Amino acid sequence: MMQRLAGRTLPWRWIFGLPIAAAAVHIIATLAAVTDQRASAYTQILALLKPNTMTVLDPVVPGQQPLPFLTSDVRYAMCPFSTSAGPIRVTAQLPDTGWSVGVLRADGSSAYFASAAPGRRTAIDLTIVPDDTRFLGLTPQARGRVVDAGPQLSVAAAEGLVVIRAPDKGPAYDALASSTLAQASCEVARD
Amino acid sequence: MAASDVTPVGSARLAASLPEMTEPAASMSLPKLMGQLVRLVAQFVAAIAAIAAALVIGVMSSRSMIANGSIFSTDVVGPWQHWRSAGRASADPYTRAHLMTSGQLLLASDSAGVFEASTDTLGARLHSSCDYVIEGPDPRGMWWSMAVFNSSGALIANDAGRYTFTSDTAAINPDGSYIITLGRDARPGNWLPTSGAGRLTLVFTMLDPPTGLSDEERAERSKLLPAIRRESCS
Repeated sequence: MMQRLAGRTLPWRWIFGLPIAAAAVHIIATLAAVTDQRASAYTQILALLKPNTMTVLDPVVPGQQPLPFLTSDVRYAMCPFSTSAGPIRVTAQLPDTGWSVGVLRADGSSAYFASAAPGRRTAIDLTIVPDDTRFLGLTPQARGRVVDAGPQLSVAAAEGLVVIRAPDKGPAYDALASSTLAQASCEVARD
Repeated sequence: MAASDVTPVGSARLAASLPEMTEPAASMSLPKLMGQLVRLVAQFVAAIAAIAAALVIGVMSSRSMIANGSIFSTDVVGPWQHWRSAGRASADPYTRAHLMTSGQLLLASDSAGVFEASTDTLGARLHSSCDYVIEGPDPRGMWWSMAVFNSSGALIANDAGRYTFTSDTAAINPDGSYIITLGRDARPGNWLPTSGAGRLTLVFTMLDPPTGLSDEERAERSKLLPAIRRESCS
């Protein structure tokens, strides 16, 4: 009797099919969101700043906040880069604790990050080279060209953001932070 | 497979499984025909409803897990939530989708701990109509910052021009601990104004030392997160 009832009155196909179909839709929606760059930080910054150029942003205050949840505890210098025109050379100075430089790929993953050691100036000099298929290992250094006497790092990323953060230590340090950020560079490496 | 192979068998099976359909239409009574029609329409409506339900459940659950996190992507310590693989190349799809759709510029979890709180320690929603005390222990030399936003991630405009405190700008207690207050009305000490922002989100950032942190040290770091205590509401 129960078997007959269960077989005839309960729509088993729907009971099992609905969660499976919902799970399939869930997976498709999630993967679609992963590839949707329209609202990404990279896309928004690229629309505001000149590519392959380091720009010191104005202090983040209400109404001048380029990205959501962007904190005003640091001053920012940013460079939206693309290695389609060649490797990008990035130089920066990190004078003290709280300073950091990061290279983020367009999908938000980190390609490189360095933060300053307490009381010690850290010089950053790195080259961003095209990743995987387009990279042939021909950085300026690989071709025998000495770009600088200092040590250089190579980072693989096709496009993304270079972000330098200078901590807000109060008005007395604003000029030093601004001038140090202004010295940072991000440009296509010349042969 | 040739059509001649299947037609007689197929016809017989169809006839056996659907005896009513093999009856001549003329011999069926009108109520019987109407009953079949109603059953067909009901099945069609049920199928459409099931497809719609699958779409709504699938899309809404995906959006919720991307926007708010889940056990698959975030760690929760008291009121604080942390996207555990943010910025990593091996990040799970929810974290990657969160970064792509939210427009946030999160520091990589290998480099810093970025913790968000939308509730106090007792689980009540943070709101600008209430005053809060945020009390944290000595962060052991790590650089930290505490910022307050409205629920959509915008800084809260205020006459004092205060939006954040850091380990450099906050008044620190002699033992290294700190107290930050949140509220609409001015208070002495490390006061962050919330004006009339409505629902609030706090973001607490702890920068890893240049030498990095091990997994054990990261777990220890979670013990340094401040408590958020509600004082009063108006």
